[in-house]
Amino acid sequence: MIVIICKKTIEGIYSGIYQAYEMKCDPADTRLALEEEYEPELFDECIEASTDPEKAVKVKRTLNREFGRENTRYLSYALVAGAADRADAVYHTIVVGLKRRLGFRVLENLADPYVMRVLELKRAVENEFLHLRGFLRFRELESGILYARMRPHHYVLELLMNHFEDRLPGEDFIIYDAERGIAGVHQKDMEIYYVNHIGDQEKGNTTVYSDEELIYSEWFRGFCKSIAIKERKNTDLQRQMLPLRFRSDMTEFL
Amino acid sequence: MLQEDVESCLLDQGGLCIEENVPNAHAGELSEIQKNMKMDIMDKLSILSAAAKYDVACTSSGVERSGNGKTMGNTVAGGICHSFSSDGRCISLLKILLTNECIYDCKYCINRRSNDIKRTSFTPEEVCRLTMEFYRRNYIEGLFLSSGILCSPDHTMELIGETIYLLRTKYGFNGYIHVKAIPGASLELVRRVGFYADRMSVNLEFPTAEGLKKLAPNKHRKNILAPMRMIQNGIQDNKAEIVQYRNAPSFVPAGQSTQMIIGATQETDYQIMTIAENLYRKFDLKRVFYSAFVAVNQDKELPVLPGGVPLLREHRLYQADFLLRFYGYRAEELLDERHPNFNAFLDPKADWAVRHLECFPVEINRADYQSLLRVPGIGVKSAKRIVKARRLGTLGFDELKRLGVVLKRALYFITCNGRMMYPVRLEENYLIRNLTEKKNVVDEVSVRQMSLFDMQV
Repeated sequence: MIVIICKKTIEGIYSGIYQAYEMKCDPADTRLALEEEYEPELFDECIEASTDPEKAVKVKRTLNREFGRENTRYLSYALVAGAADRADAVYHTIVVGLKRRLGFRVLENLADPYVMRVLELKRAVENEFLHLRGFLRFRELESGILYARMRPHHYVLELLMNHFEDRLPGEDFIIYDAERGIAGVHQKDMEIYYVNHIGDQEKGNTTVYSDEELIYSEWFRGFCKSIAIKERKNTDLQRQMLPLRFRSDMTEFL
Repeated sequence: MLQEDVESCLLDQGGLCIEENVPNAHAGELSEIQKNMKMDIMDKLSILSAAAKYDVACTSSGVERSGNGKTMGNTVAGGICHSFSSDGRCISLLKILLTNECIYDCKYCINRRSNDIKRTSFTPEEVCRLTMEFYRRNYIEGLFLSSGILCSPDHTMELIGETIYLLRTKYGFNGYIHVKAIPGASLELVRRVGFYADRMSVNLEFPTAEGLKKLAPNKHRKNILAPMRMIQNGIQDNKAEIVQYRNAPSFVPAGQSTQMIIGATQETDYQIMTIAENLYRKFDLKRVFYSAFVAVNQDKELPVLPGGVPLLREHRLYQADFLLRFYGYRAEELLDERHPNFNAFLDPKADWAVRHLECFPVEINRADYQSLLRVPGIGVKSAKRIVKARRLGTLGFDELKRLGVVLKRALYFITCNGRMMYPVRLEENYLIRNLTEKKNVVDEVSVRQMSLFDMQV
């Protein structure tokens, strides 16, 4: 089995796919693995793929042309999932799609296990994005900046930043992905940018919230209590709709 | 009354908790005015949100509007749930009453005139500030504003209108707004409010006019239906207008909804479903909500429900409601005069299926979309996936499972390439037994050990 090892970024994975085609690998005997997450197996023949923006762009252009923009977007959703097999699933989906000339219907080929896996990953990423779109909580710092912290399974930070840029154009805000140590920063009238390799801020416990923040968080906590109907109490349902893992960063559960 | 004591106790506790939770160090830092403002609004918020909690519609869906690049807010077609309260209901909007003062004396309502409860009101400015600050922190998706009837329906509607006008213009809020149209208010007032709201709703309160007359003596059926009709016509006119003039202001773009209280009056499920169906067909409603009756007052007109809040009944009505809206069922298919209430043990779709065995089994690889939708265990999503996926290859049971079909229920009603998953009999009693028992395996013989307790029937 030939194993092409690529970087974890979307660019890195697209470069790896380019390399697999460039080397004319037999897809049935080729696997894409991610750096750091690769576990060597017997008879594996490893090839390290270099990340090359030019190659990545070429792959993306091909996907756009062959499968359409929407399907390409779905593939890139699958590529930001937290699962180790994401690169391989996307690679084989592309292989089948091109070989059978499925075009726009590439992701409708649900009987194929790789396509199914891609859709699963895409769904997981989408779901977590949809969850966090609602469950993310901003807290106002002393400086007036809104700060949100989260620990998502998947890399949904960029999706969230785009959502909140549209929603809060006049605000300065930061979303911090504590799982990956990446923060997205939005400043009024400026492009979003990302900062990598940040240690966990909470450890030093240095975050200082504004006076107003304390008031409004109290009010919201009170609101969440008074809006519940005690005759209908159903905490199982609450847990099903709002999983516990989100609650540690949510104002009303602090 | 005992009930009221409990209720006011609740409110007091709400106030107390909040005082305790504020760390003293921080309280010291706040100015005197801030403190006063804080307690004042906290009290109002807990009273007026507790008073609004029986309104069901907390959806933020139905309209997609991206941000304008300057002021705060956008809306998403699917709506966003921001939190869930301890009763498992979603918190999507800041759901409050403008005031809980009310001139009406509806028997079932906590805010009725004859109840001795704490009365208070928000000013429009207070509502706007709360909405903006909550929205900024991503607590909520927008505002849900309802109100008790202060002085007169017209006056109340004007106050509501003033509030959301302020929110849209002075504060530039571009998020979701749901307001109640007050029955009895002049239609012109309702119409003007509609240009600032995303969704409007008029509560039907009870399925039939008799129920309304008995339990809400100050409300009249025609005062409820008139604004409903007006909003419906307004939406239709507005759609035509927007086609002609792209920048015409939109009128209630997310449509209108309504709600009925279930279990306080004697209607059967069949009556309720027929009314819901008519509301969808004749009034183009987006949603009809069903609210299980919670006894907050004691009154001789109100029933005593020994089983507590009729949550299962409410659940069955919602299931049937979805069958009406997305599955192409008609109310008279699900229920009829001889069979007027839903089965407590089977959901309405499975119940329909076991009574119509002539339609089954359905062949997955050939049946049309409508027949697939009628199979228990196959929903809208999985039916669509099946239709797409079978174009590129035949489907077996393994694939179905991966497509999201609930085989536990579906296996009795489908074939893949002419085969059933297990040898099962299409026979009513056998199916009912297997669908209600919580187990996955089919007992092939389908003979049951007789039990002594069977005789008690």
